[in-house]
Amino acid sequence: VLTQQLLNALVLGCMYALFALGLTLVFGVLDILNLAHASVYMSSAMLAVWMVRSLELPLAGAIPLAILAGGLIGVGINQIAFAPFLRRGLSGQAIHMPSMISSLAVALVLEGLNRGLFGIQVQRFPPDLFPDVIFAIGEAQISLLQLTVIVVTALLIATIGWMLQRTRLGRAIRAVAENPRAATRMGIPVQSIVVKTFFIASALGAVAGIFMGLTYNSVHVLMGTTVALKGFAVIILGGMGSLAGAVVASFILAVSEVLTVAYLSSHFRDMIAFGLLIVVLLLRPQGLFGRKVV
Amino acid sequence: VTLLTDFLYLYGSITNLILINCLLALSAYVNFSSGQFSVAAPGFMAIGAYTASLLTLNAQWPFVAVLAAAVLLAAVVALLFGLPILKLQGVYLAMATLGFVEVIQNLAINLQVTGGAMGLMAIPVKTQTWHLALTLALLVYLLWVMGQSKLGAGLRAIRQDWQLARVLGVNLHRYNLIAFVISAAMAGLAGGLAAHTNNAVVPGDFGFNLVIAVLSFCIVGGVDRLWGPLLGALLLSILPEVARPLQEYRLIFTGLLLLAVILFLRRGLAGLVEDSWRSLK
Repeated sequence: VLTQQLLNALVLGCMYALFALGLTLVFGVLDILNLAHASVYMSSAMLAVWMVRSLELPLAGAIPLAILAGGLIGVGINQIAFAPFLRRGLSGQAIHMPSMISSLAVALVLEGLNRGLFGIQVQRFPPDLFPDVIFAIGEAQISLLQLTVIVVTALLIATIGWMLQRTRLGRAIRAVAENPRAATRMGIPVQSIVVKTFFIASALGAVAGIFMGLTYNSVHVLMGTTVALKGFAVIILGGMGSLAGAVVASFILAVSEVLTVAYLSSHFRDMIAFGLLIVVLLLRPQGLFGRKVV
Repeated sequence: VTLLTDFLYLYGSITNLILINCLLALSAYVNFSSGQFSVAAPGFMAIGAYTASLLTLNAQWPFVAVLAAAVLLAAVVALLFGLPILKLQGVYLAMATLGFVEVIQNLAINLQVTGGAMGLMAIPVKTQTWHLALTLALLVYLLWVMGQSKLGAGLRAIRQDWQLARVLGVNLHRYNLIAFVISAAMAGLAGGLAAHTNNAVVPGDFGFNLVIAVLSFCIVGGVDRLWGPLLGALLLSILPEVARPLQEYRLIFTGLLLLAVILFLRRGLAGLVEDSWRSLK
């Protein structure tokens, strides 16, 4: 039974990791916390269900389109909520509060739009959309969907890591993260790098939302709230801006949650993230992998 | 006659709501006025609300004693939590205080004594509208006096330039802690009063949505002036009640308003009003 629990935790951790990667990527590059990241996660899942149900697209068409839409929503969020402050040359502490509020404002608008367009009831994919194949690993079982989540997440994490370390775009992103002014002087088009970062980060959030919707076959306008708060806990635990930290922290959180539900009580599952968040901030605000922040 | 009582009932409950929102906005203002991005007010409000209701229901304490206990417990928790947590700034403080709100809400949902997800019911209604109005007036006066004092000057100095304030000998940590405790005490009081305005206390009332609401009051109104958050609370509580479409599209409306203010009006609506007044003169 423990193997099964750990397997479930692995799948949950994958989705947390994809979500948190986007959140921490934006923080690492721009030093801002994107409170609308969870709205991208929710909107993309809503769009995926809508495309499958109303447009009757196959899943293989709906998913890439929903991910693309998520990335574009992210770019829009940057243009509306963050670009104005960056253009004014704000940075560091001075940008924290206004950019959190502007992204929160965009999150409210996006939630309102989704409510208006799709309603507040739980949306579901049609049954048997994903081939219902179950594999047995010893005593544990894993579905094809869960396996897909794990494989795709591993591939995405590897791709992001490779992209940041080895490609021109990745080097430019890291240069902007290190020092935007120096990057500008080196001839790096900072604005366009920021837009690309937002697209990538938001597309990752979209994948997380679609996977979560498929795994539990439940998509709801409020699905972003819980994951947003957990995402904060994860990137704090991992160290703000640290990609490896975010991945490791995602699995730590997922395992703690699954084991709590299995052996203690499901009541306290959602408290783990927030308790963890506070404890880490008190004891080690730079997180497990982060640089010192205070 | 039915219509009239209906109207009074409705009118009275909206007035109570506005006054409670004003109390919360003031509570948050105390932190924002020193540049501390704390969103903990709903958590302390929950502590006050549950403390007060439980004492009323189980111990039958007099109303004033119940309120005093609500204030005291919120203040003590704020002292213990604020001592370590106020070393953080900016997004880190915002997230730690958001985590605090969520922990309190989850405790309320999961503990036996707080009645779980259903909350507490059959709480006697003891708060009159004039109690709320008087409390608000007193607190506005006290905060105004505080603004004129050394403490108020210190807090303003911290917000404008905390490094300079430190050089000038302002004890940052102590000042921020005092502000945090005062803010929590006010939220606790608001909670104790709110718990006795209708019959129930429900944990869902003290979560992320209230965090957003209180934040909106302060940002839309502006935190430069004491009356800014009051203006924000007043506007954002009344507008959805008088205009039906705004209620339906409340989220979009609040979001757009918040966005417009944060992008174009750095000092909020209060700043706008002040500037227009000055240019008229």
